[in-house]
Amino acid sequence: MQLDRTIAPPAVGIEGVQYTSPKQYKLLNGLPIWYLNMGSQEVIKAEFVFHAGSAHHACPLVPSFTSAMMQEGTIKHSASEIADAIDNYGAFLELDHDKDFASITLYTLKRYYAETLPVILEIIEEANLPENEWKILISNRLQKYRINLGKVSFVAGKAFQELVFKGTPYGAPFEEQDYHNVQLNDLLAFRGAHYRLEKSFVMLSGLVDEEVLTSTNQVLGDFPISTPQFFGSTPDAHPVAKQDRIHFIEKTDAIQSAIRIGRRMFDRRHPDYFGVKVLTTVLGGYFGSRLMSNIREDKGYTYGIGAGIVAYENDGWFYISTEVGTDVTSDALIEIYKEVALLRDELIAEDELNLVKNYMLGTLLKSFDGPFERIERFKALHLYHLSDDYYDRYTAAIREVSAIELRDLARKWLQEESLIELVVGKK
Amino acid sequence: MISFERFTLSNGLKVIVHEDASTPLACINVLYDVGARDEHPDQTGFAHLFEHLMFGGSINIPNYDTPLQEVGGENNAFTNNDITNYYLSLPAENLETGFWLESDRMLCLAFSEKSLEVQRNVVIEEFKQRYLNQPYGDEWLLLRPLAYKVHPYQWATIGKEISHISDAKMEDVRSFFNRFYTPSNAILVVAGNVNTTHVMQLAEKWFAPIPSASKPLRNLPIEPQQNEARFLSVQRDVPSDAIHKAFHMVSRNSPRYYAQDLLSDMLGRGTSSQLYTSLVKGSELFTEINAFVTGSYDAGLFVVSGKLKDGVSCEQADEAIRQELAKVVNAGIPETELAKVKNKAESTHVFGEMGVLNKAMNLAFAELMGDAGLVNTEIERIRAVTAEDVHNEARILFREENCSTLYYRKNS
Repeated sequence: MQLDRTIAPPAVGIEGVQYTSPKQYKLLNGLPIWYLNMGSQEVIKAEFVFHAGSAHHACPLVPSFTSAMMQEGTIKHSASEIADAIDNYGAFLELDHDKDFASITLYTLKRYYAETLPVILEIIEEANLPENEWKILISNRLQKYRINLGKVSFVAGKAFQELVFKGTPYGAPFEEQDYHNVQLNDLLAFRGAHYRLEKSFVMLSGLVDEEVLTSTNQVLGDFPISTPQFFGSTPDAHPVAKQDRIHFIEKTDAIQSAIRIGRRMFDRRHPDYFGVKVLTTVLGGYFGSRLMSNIREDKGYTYGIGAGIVAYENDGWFYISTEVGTDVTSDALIEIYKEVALLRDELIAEDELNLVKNYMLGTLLKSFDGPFERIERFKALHLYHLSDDYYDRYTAAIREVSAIELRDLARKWLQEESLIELVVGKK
Repeated sequence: MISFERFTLSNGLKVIVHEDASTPLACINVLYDVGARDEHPDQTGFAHLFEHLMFGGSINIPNYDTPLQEVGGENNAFTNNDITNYYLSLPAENLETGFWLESDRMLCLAFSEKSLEVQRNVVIEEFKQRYLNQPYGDEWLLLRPLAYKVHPYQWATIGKEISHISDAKMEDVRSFFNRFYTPSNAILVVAGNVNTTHVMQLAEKWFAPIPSASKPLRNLPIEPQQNEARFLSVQRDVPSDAIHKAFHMVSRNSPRYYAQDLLSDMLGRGTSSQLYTSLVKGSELFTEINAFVTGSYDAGLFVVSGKLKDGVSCEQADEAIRQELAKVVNAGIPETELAKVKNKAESTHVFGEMGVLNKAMNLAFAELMGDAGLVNTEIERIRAVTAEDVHNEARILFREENCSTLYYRKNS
């Protein structure tokens, strides 16, 4: 029989994901840890999260530098000895932070877990931020900052964050002068207040068997702590200061302009969160989205354009982001606003909405693939104060949301006069 | 250890299957044995532009992305100097949709004029965004033609210049497709929650009817041995000076490759490496420094590159790097250092096999180098390298007459 290639093979709908919570285990000193024993690879990921993101200080550089300085030496060992102690076993140490949280993560082959975990404990409890290392770090960071100022995307990203969250901890500004103003004492105070074993949220994933739990108890469980207290201060929801809608930063030598359009929104607990997530995916959340189809695939103005929502612990925002040729900056803006208006004015066609729903369910399924992905999903629930049925509710909301509800959400949240616009480059 | 089955269809398409029941997903990776090195010197950037056109619809399916997204799938692709690689992942139940889409664009593209016109613009914007509108963005556009005088590695994947992309014609697109996008020039890997017998049936159904064509012969000029030190100095609007030193090294499938790769790790991977310890932390001449290998299929480059601290000259920085390399040549390789980078290489390999898509890609790359089974012996081969091997490679590599040096200075 001749194969008819014009007809798609039959496909099935996507089942929801099976969320299973990691297990809790109480160490000898009373510290609760969570672990997920899963996978076929002989590896362990041990992550320690602290409430120490950049929104936790009036100057966002202080948490950021503190996070980087944590591996630069302890009371007992120099920075290079710490680096060797990790690298000798082929392990990886990752220091990271966002607005709300900072994390210290160890990735290691399982057979070296018992040797490398003590290094992490030593960093958390005994990092002393040596002055010589601080001088090197601040000078290198300043240079990186100057390099970044040459990128329209960096300038736009930073300025836009400060515009959307003006006057709140999520929008605290910083300039080159702050690199000179920040003092090592600021970092030491921040480190002392935020980085302690008892203030950490600990998650293990990979082949976490009895042996791994025993090693964990011997290293972490043996360390004396006071009452565990991961959740301390959280940034409050502040009112945002009033400002103009249109902003422009000129860069005369730019050959592309960076465009950012968006507004403040909400965190994951808001009743409109799931619906707006679907809405912004339609607009710019996947390769076939309306913005990509129009601005890239039809007009060829850009290499890429995206839209989405970002949620923090107690706040969130909506963004549209792209870099376009300077000669088509105004044309691109017109097309972007046209696409946003269509969401308010017309119902999304059934085919398109079904496609987006399936795409989102497929992405969700993928985000549960493997132990490291699964522990991330658990982490999100815990850090953002969500219940265990969150992923079931998410799946149901995607399936059920209607075109009419989405149009109403667009009218509620995406009115043009509520959107801040920033162009960095040339108009 | 990645288990797999391998078979070849009558039209020459190689198929590799890896079953992994622990994931709900399936992946399809299609590697085409064509990259920027196969381009004509007057039509550079073509392999990459072509990759974009592969998403512009095929003969029976007007749009590639929509049907895939409809069944919960996702896809992407990349081009480098050696290969063009396409990959998708989707819920395993919907595997056949992937076969349908990938086989149709191997059969024949739609060759839409509109798609060509738009993708020319998109790629030109990509050229601007990644290579021109970024500080230091053109470093590799400068370094490649300095190091390679005859081999096509002298141009970057994006191409030598924008005009090569804007001049691309539909007839060029057609002949490129007919020559390189054939079953015998491709490797298909299917991995994830799949069944090998089922995959064989699907491959027979969707790919076997594609007409065979002979595998294009590759006859690239061999880069002659470099016999004199090369220098280039440029000035740009950047905040600090940078330096690159590129040494000619062996190809990815040479038995000497791992010794050279481990040497680059020892010198410049991470904060416990020799260059970082000596030059960023010790003498504080650099704010960052790295050593790495390009790992290309033909003879590659061993690169040391760094950004200089304010007040340090390129000459001073160059001299400091030369002294560090001379230390290795003169003093040899400490066993502890070698053990360290071998451990790192092993864990990189193990972590690299965490995702099913990574496994699929690794199998495809290894098969292109001659045998998919190479993925399972890589750690052994790394473990077999001795300190003496690495020391020998340092002596062969680190000669100024084997080196192209780029001083990238800020405007004064």
